[in-house]
Parts: sequence; structure tokens; C-alpha cells
Amino acid sequence: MEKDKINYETSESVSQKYKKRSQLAEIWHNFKKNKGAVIGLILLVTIIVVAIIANSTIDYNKIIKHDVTLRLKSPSLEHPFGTDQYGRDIYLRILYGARYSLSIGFAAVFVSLAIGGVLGIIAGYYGGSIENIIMRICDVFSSIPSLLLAISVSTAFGAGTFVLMFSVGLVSVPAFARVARASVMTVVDSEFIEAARAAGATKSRIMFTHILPNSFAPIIVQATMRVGSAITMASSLSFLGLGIPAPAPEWGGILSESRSFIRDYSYMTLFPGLAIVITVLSINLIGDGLRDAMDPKLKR
Amino acid sequence: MKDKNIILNIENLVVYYETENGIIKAVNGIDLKLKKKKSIGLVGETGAGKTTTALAMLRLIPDPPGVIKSGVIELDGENILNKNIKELERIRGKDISMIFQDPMTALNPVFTVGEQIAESILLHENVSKSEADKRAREMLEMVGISGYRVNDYPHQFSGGMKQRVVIAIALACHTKLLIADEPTTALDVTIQAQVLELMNDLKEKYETSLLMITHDLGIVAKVCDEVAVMYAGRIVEKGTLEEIFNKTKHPYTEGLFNSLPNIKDRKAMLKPIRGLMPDPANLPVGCTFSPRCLYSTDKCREKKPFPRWISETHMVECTAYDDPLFHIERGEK
Amino acid sequence: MYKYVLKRLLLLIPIMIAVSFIVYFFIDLAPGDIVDVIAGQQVSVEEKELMREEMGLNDPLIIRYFRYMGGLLRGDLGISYVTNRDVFGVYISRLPATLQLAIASTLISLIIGIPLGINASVHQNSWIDSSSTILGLIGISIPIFWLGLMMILLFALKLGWFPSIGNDEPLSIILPAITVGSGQAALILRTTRSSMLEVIRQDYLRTARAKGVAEKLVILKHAFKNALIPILTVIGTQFGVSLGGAVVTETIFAWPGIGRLMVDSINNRDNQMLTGAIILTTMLSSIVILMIDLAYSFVDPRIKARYSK
Repeated sequence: MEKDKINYETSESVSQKYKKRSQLAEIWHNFKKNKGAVIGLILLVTIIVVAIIANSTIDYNKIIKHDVTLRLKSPSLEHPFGTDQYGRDIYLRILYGARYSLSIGFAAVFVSLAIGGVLGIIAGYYGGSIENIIMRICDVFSSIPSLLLAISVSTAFGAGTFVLMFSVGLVSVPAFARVARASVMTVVDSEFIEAARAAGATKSRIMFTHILPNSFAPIIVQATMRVGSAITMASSLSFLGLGIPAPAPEWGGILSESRSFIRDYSYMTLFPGLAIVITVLSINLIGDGLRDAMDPKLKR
Repeated sequence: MKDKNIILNIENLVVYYETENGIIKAVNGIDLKLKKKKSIGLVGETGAGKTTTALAMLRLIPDPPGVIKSGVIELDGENILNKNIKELERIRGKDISMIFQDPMTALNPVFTVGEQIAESILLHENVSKSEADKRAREMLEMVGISGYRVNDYPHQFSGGMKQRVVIAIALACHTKLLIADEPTTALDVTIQAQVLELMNDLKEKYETSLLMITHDLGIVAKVCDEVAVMYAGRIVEKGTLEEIFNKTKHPYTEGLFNSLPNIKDRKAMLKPIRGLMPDPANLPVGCTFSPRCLYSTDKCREKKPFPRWISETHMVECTAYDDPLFHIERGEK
Repeated sequence: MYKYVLKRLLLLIPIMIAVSFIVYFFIDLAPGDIVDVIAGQQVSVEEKELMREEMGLNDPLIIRYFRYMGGLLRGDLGISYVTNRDVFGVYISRLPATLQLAIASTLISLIIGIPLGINASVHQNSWIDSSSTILGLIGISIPIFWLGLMMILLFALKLGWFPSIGNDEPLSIILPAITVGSGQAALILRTTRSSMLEVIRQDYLRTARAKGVAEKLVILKHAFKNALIPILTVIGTQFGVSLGGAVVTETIFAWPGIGRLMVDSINNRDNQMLTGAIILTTMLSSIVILMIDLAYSFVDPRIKARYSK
């Protein structure tokens, strides 16, 4: 009997097998495994880079100039996407127009996050009548169908980039307020906050080191998905004539103009739409990937 | 020659889980026989392979990654491993039933308990819906719940009552063999006693054989006629209740008994079995228990033990008994 | 249970009043007013001011709003100055066309989305799942107005199978319904899939299998009923979205519903009509969501219990 020669796994050897990663690195690692998400990321970065280059190299005046001789030419080498009814090169207009969709999409979500996030955190943390009032106001705004709310605001303030950013952003404020409030509430109630308090942490320390990081995940996923819908909504508004006015080459606006020519000049409708689809798709791929990467329950 | 008295015959069952991280050897060749109307306790710690064995009997092992590598499982003379899906669906719930550990999640929240019991009856027996509903109500009464509650939903019952409903579902078609996988682990001790008594009564009444999976020797003592002790996918000792409790032979079984706090000697130190269960993807070469065994020798660590029959019913797998003078501290000397 | 329904209906009133204020406020801010539209070029500035005084258009916002709300509570949303008919009447007359489209597109979205979603969840991580997921992603990334134009291009103009505009023929509904339905189908697919994935892990499915329930029934009856709640939610919210989106869809397909009505009001500066239409549409959307809420209680008995307390 050899009682002393024990051979069983110690806790050190077990933990050596699983190297610790920081939370961010863990999320990135999971994100990378999702092929779709990575493709989305590459696509989006490409689009952003193209937009930036386009804006610095393409002359705005050139793409709004009418040239009757070049009217309605089908796609060719010199005009890869053809020309429109005013002789303007569609390819260049689309490249330049990326800035509108991208900037409005991100800015609108930023507006929603800023206003909605703050409202939600305040509501969640303070509770009581403050929470009630904020949530009721959110209920009222969210009961109006989004596009109609955006139309109301845009009608009020007229056309233009900033108005568009605000009206599209306003639409998502209630959603962010709710997500932020829910995050705050689950974390505030959870047991590890009690443990932190039992260990002596102060209220603000709890807020920042515990509540905030854990509230992030659902907010970030929402935000990413909303950029896509913001871009679509902005295009819809421009399509209706309420967004960025002509002759600016906003994708929705270009589509609206192309309607009358759809029968014989379908390329005018095809390309701007594809631009929107690819951009929104890449963002949605990223959003999905982020959500899967941050969900601890998912099978990998 | 098939013995008509044997309800369950398992021979050399081997079940692996083939995952991308390696092959997990959950069950490594077990033999088990259970006579009709008898009950056997399958004892062991978490990870010993007990639940896998039970799931194999119902062919409910998730595939992938689980694979039944070899073996025979005969239920009342018929080999389950050869059956196709339709035949299995006929057998499940009728000839063999299983109840699981956690009653809180075992019932479907959107159907009434009556519907869930009646479903089993309607599946296996050619009766009308109203007849099935009537029988469902009777089963409910049989497990000690008022028949009026037949249209209530699971969330309206406590944990103990939910487990009774689960038992009602399992026995609704008067199954021949009931497998109970730690049915009382999630319940309070007092409720535990009630549920065990219920199981005993119904077992008598319906002449059902019982395979009770548990890590609790107390439960085994109350309910089982025979015991099989499982470790790392093998049965290391099996015998009648009396033999296992009073004539313990295997060091692991001894360890299990020693782990129980002694109510008579409150000041004695707890004697847990040191070490951890081996990683089923990385089992030791010789006897799988040898790294933790107080009596292990070099021979134990080198070669695998073979089944040794001490009596007609008592088997132990332990190389130390090659030495005729060897004995463990507990049990007959 | 009925107390709950009543409570929710009563709650709708203050919400709708608040909504009416917000919508009135914003649309009122728009430059230009009725007088400019009616009066035209020949009328002088002084005469226009007189008209404004008469109509009470120079009163402060609050007074005007209360006047409006008073009418609202009586069911009178005013007269569309452009068409000279009462707002409510016009809205109601155009509503059926939009409802037809909404119901048709919802049906299409359910018929396509739910089976694909269930299938994807059952075959998780297989090529069936991957392709369904991609399909779902593409579906929610395509703007309706572009999909509509492409559909018209392909099926109406190039192939000539279906009419592209108006709702004169019975087949006219096909293209718009498929256009709106596809986007909704993608969302239903995604929601069904993720909801089913949650349910598929549950223990009670194992109990069902151990009872001898056939696998198909385990999925379609035992699992799916539990997965319904999020799907119902999406159906409800999508209804509201499609009512808003009707603005775009009906423009493309020249469908004579409330969406077109609103677009025309925007272009004609018919503020009265636009305000009324948005408020009524919001009310409709809220009622549908309430109905969905009630539907929950039929699906999940635990929710019914909560509502009855």
C-alpha cells in the first residue's frame, strides 16, 4: 500500500490547460470564428475606405453637372454603372453617395444611444416615478410606427442631413432606453452586486466597474443592428423626398429618380439598390457575429 | 437460452462520445442482469457513466457525438440496439420508461398535466380520447394528486408534486421496466421520502422492475434488492443488497460508505475518497480506481482487473484479491 | 383576465392623446400652411392673414391643439382642406386596401418564414442552417422600395406575369404582397430559428421522447408551441412597421391605401390629413399589439395566470 504516491490532477495543472483571456480578447476570438461576421467586417471597412477616398478625390460639382450628350448611356468601361437622365455618371455618384448613408447611419445611432442610453440608465438606476415617466414617454414614442415618426419630424424641420440624423435617431431612442434600463436592472439586482457591496464597494464604483461593463453587450449588439435599419430608413425618407434633397447623390434619392426610367434603363435602379443592400448586409453580418460572440450560452 | 425471468440483460455495453476534443469513454463494457419484479440500484459518483447507461437503454443518447460502440441490451429478450426508430417509439413509454433528475424542467409548461399523461396512453394504447383522459385522472390519483387538478398546468405544482406527475406519466402504460435517474436529488428530504415510498408502492402494484440510479446509499437501502457500483464506466462491484452493504469487497465501495458521516461518532473526521474521478478522455492504464485506491499495488496500476465471482450473485473487479489473504477494512473479515 | 384587457384599453387613451400631441406638434412646425395652399398666387398677403385669423390659425399652439384634441375625442379629425372631405372618412375608405396587403404579406411571411426557421434550428450548424441564416440576413438587408422595383422589373415588365401598379385586378396583390412579405419572412425566419434554438435544449423534450413521441411531433408540437411567444411579438411589431412602410410600398405599386394617402398629403401640404392619418395609423397599430398581447395568454398559461392576478 503506497498511500503517499497519489496521482491526481491538481488545480494548477487543470487551470494551465485553459489560458485566461481578457473579456475583449475572448469576444474577438469568438467573433473571428464566424466567417460571415469577418466577411461583413471586411466589406464594411472597404466601403468606409472607399467612401473616404471618393469624397476626397471626386469633385462634387462634376457629379451634379448635367451633360445632355451623355444622357442615359448603358454601363460601359468609361461609365461602369452607366449614366442617368442628366448625363451624370452613376458609378461616381454612388461612390460619393456612400458618405450620406454611412454618416447618417452611424450618427443616427449615436443620437439614439446618447439620448436613449442615458435615459435608460437613469430610469433603471433611480427607479420610482422617474423611471415611470421616462418609460411612459418612451412607450408613447414607440407606439408610433417608426417611418411615420421620422416623417413627422422631417416634415417639421425640412430636408437636410442633420435633420435626417436626428429624426432617424429619435426613432430608436425608446428601444435603447429599454435595453439600457433592462441591463441596468438585471445587473443591479444580481447577486454579485450584493457581494461587491458586502465587500465594501461604494455606489459609484459599483456603477462603473460592475454595472457598465455588463450592460454593454446587449446595447452594442442593438446599436450595430440599428445602424443597418437607420441607413435603410434614411434611404426611404430620401426616396420619398423628405431626406437629402437632389442633386445630392444619396442612394435612396438616386433610386427615386430612376423610377421613371425603370423599363428601359433598369441599370439605373439596380446599382444604387445593390449599394444599399451590400452596406446594410455587411453591418447586419457584423451585428449577428457580435451577438453570437458575446453570448456565453451558445455552442461554439 | 433466453431466461424468461430476466427483464433486462446488458452485455458488454460500450458507449463513447466522439468529440473534437477527444474520445470520451463514458461506458467501458458493463454487464447487468435484472430479474422481473426486482429492483437494482446503480450507484456511483457523477461522471461514472450511470446516466449514459440509462440513456443507452432508451436509445436516447445524442448521436452525434454519442456512439454505442458495442454490446447488447435485451429488454424482455429483445435486443434494443437492433431496433429501428418506429419500434423504439413503440417501446419507449410502454415497455421501458425513464424519469429524470430535475422535475422543475421535465414537464412541458404549455400543456396541462392531464394532457401530458394522456398523451402517453394515447400513443401506446388503442383507446378513445375520453378514455385516455379518464385514465390520466386515475393515474394522478394513484400518485397522490387530486384528480381535479388534471387540467392544471405544471407551473401550478410544487417540485415534489411535479415529480409525482412525472412518475404518473412514466407508469401510465404499466411499463415493465422503470429507470429512475436520481429522481429525488432535487427534492427536499421529506419530499424525498414520500416520493420513494410512492415508487415502492407502485412498483409492487404494477409489478414493475426498477433500475434506480443514485449516488445516495440511503436510497439504495430503502428501495433496491440488488446493487451495482459503477466507476469510470465499469461496474466494479455488484451483488445483493446484503452482500454490498455487509460484505463489501471493493475499495471504492468501501470509500463510498466511508464518505457517509457517522451519526454515532460525531467527532470522527470525514473520510472522503481523495483525488478526483479520472478524465474519461484520458483513463489510467491499469485499474481505473488505482490512483485513488488506498490498497493499490504496482500490479493494480499495470493490468486491468477482471470480474471475480465471490458468490453466485456477488462480483467484484479488483486485482488485489489475487492475493487470497487480501481484505479491506470494511465488511466481512 | 377581462380586467386586464379593460385596463390596457383604458391605458391606450392617454397614450393616444400624447401621440396626438406629438404628431400635431411636429407637423404643425412645418413651414407653409393651408392658407398658402388654398389661396394660391392671386391672393394678397393681407387677405391671407385675414383668412388665417378666421380659421384661428394664428392662435397659440396650445389653443389650437386643444381645439384639435376636442375634435379628436369626439371622433372628428377635421376636414382635409385639399380634398374637402372629412379626414376620418377618407382614411376609413382607404384603409381596406392597406389591410388587404398587410394580411396577405403577413400570411406569406409566416408560410415561408416559420418552416424555414424550424428547419434551420433542427439542423443547427449544417448547411441547411447556414443557408437559412444567410437568407434571413439578406432578407432584412434589402430595402423594400428597391425589392419592389426589382420585382416590378422582373415579373411585370420583363416577364409580364403580374400587373405592376394599382389594384384593379385580383392578381395585382401578388407582387406587393411578396415584396413586403419577403422582408417580413426573413425576420420571422430569424426569430423562429433563435426561439426554437432556446427551446430545443429544454428537458421536457427529453421527457417527450422518453414517452415514445415521434421526433417530428416533439419538434412541431412540444417544442414549437413554446417557441411561439417571440414569434407572436414579431408579428405584432411587424404589423406596425408594415403600416408605416405602406408609405413606401404603396408609392411604388400605386396601391390605393393609407400609405399613398399619406404621401399625397405630404406632397399637397395637407397637414390636417397627414396628422389625422398618422394618429389613426398609430391607434390601429397599438390595438393590434394589444391583441397580440392577449394572444400570448392563450399560448402560454403562465402569462394567462399573470394577467388574471
